[in-house]
Amino acid sequence: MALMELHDVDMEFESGKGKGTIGAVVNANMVIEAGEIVAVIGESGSGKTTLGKVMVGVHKPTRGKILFEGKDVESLKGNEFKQYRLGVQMVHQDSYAALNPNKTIYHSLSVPLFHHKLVKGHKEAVGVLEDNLREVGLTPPEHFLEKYPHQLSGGQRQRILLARALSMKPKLIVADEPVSMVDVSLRISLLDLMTRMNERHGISFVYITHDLGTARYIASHGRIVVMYLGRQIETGQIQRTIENPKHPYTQALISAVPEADPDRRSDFAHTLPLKSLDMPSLLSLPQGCKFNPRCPYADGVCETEEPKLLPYVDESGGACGEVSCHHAKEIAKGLKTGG
Amino acid sequence: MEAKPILEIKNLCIEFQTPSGALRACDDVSMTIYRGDIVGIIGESGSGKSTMASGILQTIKPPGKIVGGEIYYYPLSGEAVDLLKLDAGGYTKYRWSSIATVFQAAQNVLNPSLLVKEHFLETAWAHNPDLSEEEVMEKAKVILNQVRLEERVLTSYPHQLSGGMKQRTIIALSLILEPDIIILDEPTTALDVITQWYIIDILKKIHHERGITMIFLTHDVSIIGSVVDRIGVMYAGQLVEYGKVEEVFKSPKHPYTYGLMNAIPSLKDDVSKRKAIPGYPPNMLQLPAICRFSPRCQVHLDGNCEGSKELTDVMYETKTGQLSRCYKYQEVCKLCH
Repeated sequence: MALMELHDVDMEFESGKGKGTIGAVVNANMVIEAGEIVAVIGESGSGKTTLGKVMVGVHKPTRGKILFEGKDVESLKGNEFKQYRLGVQMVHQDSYAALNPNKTIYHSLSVPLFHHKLVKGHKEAVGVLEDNLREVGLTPPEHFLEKYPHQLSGGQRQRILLARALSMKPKLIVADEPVSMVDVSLRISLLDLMTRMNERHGISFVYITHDLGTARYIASHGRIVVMYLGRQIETGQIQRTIENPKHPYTQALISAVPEADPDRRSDFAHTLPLKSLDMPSLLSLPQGCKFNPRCPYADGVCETEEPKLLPYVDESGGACGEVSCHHAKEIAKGLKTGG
Repeated sequence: MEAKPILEIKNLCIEFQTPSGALRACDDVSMTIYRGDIVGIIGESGSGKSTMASGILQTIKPPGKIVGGEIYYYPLSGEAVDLLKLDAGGYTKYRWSSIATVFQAAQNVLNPSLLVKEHFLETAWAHNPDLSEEEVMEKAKVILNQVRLEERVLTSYPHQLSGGMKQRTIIALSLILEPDIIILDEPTTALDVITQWYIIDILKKIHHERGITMIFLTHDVSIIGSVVDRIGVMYAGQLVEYGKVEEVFKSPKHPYTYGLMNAIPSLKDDVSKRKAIPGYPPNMLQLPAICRFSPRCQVHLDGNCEGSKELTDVMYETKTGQLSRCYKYQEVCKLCH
């Protein structure tokens, strides 16, 4: 039984001024196994954060079903619902905004423990929190409990958030851009920490990011889901997807990633395989494939028919994830050239 | 051909007065920037790179103060000027017309109640009130074309533009007076990968066509590694390494640079070789009494360096002109393994 399953999940928001609805997440299907790390990649406006919030139950999906340990989340009551809410935790991007600036770290971290009756009394709470802080590498822990958020660095606050998530003994942590606001030299150690939590406690991670480099680092054996305008357009094993992307958008995204090494200067893409750089507005989406106005391979069928996310089988008959493109096969064989 | 300096920063010190004492955000920074180069300055938040840029532009506001140093600007023809000796009026001659900047979070730089066109006119007229509107617009259109924006942007309000378009508008605005030097403070942060690629591509072409000297300030070396000629690394207010980009990459002479190069996950490298730099950046008000980087330094933590403060008060130069603040600079690559 998978830890979490999403079946045909749509998440729509009412747009102001009666302009209709915005489909922030459209037809999301996903299976997250226990102990797995899944990276969700997308640019701003691709719906990756909304997808994460749907998973943790912040948003109730407009349509579709979410199963947690095989049970429909919507039908859960009482203790079972509590198990779900505690079992799925979220870590946000902006660690400063996620902690109350007027409360000490002890206060912010002990409230959930008392609320869910996981500890009895102050002494036990301190004990549990000190263990958690040690676990996330904040030593000595007693030094941090009485601090206020502004007294800590961005990297330390992000660790506090991980400790807070950890104190609920979660089975899944949805980490939304956890390192994008952290200094470069501290990013790797945070990613290492999440990997360690994954290995030691078997916690599954959904790592939401726009940075392919860190995604590859944390989910090197895991899966990747690429999103574009609310839709999942490609999924697969992360390493294979980066080496051999199938969807034209994934191809463009990967060629745009800068390469630090000056020796590889010539590798830096001279042109991007894109017709236009600007993403269409979510309020006036194109017909057919949502990527067709920017896609160099687009033809008639792309303008009328929206492709489905289908399993991709390569020449040798091996399954290579899923892709939603009418022409993925021809593009891979080099039969289709960009216009 | 011998490279000609365009900007020479000597012992620049900038302090901020705080209730708990003076905070030296930029401490004795010396570096020479050559005409036509693209220079990258990398450093984490609080390392002093933006403060240094404000020093060059003379936009330091109280409680900040330039407490020492010299900044020489060498115009194409004529005498060198010490920018720090100029009074506010004297500097106006150089700001924007010789040295322009693209600020961090440029998306918020445009005035929301003015048309893009008015930004161009205002800037041009501030420096040369005799220009006619047609002349300015003519120039603006050429530059907009270079940053690949349509002319209709001129008659738009900032909120009608996307983040990437705003960033390109700001770059165009910085070029309107044809400066010699342009300082770009985190020009691509907060932009998507594809937009980021586009901005860098545009900047490379502008550099190629106009030969403008560019100074890139960023915290992410991967963005500039394949673009810049020289790279400077700042840590805790000090310049810790400066040299040609190939040399700094292949044989870093400071343990911090070494750590940074190995701390950034990319798409191609071996994941298992990535290694975190231990610890956290220092509190600038409670700096260690020894070498500032020593609490995080592999060489120091392994017991191979005592981290003498006196010895790190100066910078050391290799035969090829690479500068490092680490006095074990010759052994850094060996000791860091």
